[in-house]
Amino acid sequence: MNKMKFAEAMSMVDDRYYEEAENYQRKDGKRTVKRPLMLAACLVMSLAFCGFAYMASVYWGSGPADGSSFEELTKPFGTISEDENAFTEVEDSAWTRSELISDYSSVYADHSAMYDLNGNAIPSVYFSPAWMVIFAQEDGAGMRLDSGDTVTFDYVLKNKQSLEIEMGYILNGQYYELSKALGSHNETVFQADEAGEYYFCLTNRSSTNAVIDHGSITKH
Amino acid sequence: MLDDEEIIALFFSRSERAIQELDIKYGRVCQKLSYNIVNNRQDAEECVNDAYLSAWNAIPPAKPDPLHSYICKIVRNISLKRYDYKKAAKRDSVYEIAMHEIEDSLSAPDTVEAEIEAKELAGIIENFMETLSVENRVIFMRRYAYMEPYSDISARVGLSEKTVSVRLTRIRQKMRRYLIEREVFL
Repeated sequence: MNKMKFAEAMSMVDDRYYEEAENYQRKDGKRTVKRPLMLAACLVMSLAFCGFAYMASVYWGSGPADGSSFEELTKPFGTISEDENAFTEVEDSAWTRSELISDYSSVYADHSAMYDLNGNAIPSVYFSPAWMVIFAQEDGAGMRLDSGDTVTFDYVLKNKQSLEIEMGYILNGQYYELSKALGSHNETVFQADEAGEYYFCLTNRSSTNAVIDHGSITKH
Repeated sequence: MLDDEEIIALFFSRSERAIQELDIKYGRVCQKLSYNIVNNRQDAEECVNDAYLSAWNAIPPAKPDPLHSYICKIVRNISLKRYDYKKAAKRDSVYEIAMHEIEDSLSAPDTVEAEIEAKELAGIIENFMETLSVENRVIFMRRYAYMEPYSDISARVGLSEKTVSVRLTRIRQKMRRYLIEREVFL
């Protein structure tokens, strides 16, 4: 009876949900094997034409936001900078995916960086489009949760940046999306369905660098 | 292929070409939707034809916009009725499997609460779907409205079947919590 009522109700949901489901198109190249290859090809061409100095001239990647101005961190890609500190940031950035995730088929991010939590506080960091920042304890471990534990996960972007950021977590090699929002901040309350080591993370799904002002991951 | 407005105009002029154009534009989608429920080609074809007849009788005065979801809902309802009528037969349609997997998410503790009406439940499901990302909402709709198998959903959204399966599991868990929090007992 339950399922019959559910089936009946699904026939009554608004037309727009049917239309959305019918007309949905995955984003170009998203989550396909071609995407990394295309990105790699674009990168090689960029390096060939502009030289490595170009890559060093912008804050492409991810790193601590403290010590750099917001304007520098969010400078449009392609803007030549004389800031030599940026070079370090690029070198330090790992052009690899996190090994915490074994299956990338459902993951938007192509790169990742891991940062230590300060207690339950998220550090102020920047991260480029398609980058994922993963938060861990100082010893690199994730957050141990038991089934039923509740966690509040929130962040605020600097200078009221309004960007699309995806919140998620990694558990047992699998990435799970929690929520995705366009705005300057977001908060989600998560309840663990199973015990395990959870790594909470943010993915930049916009087209400019995101700069985290502050945030927290709090277990209740 | 005519656009929706032109097809509606044919209905209004009582031209039988309206059915032909409707079939050209949405016949494949309707056939697939019906087949996923009734699990029989002939039954699916009959359900779709019945849906066309219903549309013919309803338009005018009805002037559906969008036409796609309108005809899909008719096909869905007719197919569900057909399935119920023949439910003593096989239970291996995508509809049966999809409903079986979501049943646990709908079951609630023993309660004396009055049962919720389907229309009210539809509103609650809409609110729940608003909490999902677009991608997850599409996956949910393709599975429980269009009754599609994982393989088709996987191809549509560009995720592996395994990922679609995991996503749906989590969506069902989330929906269960959502319904319980709102004391919705089915």
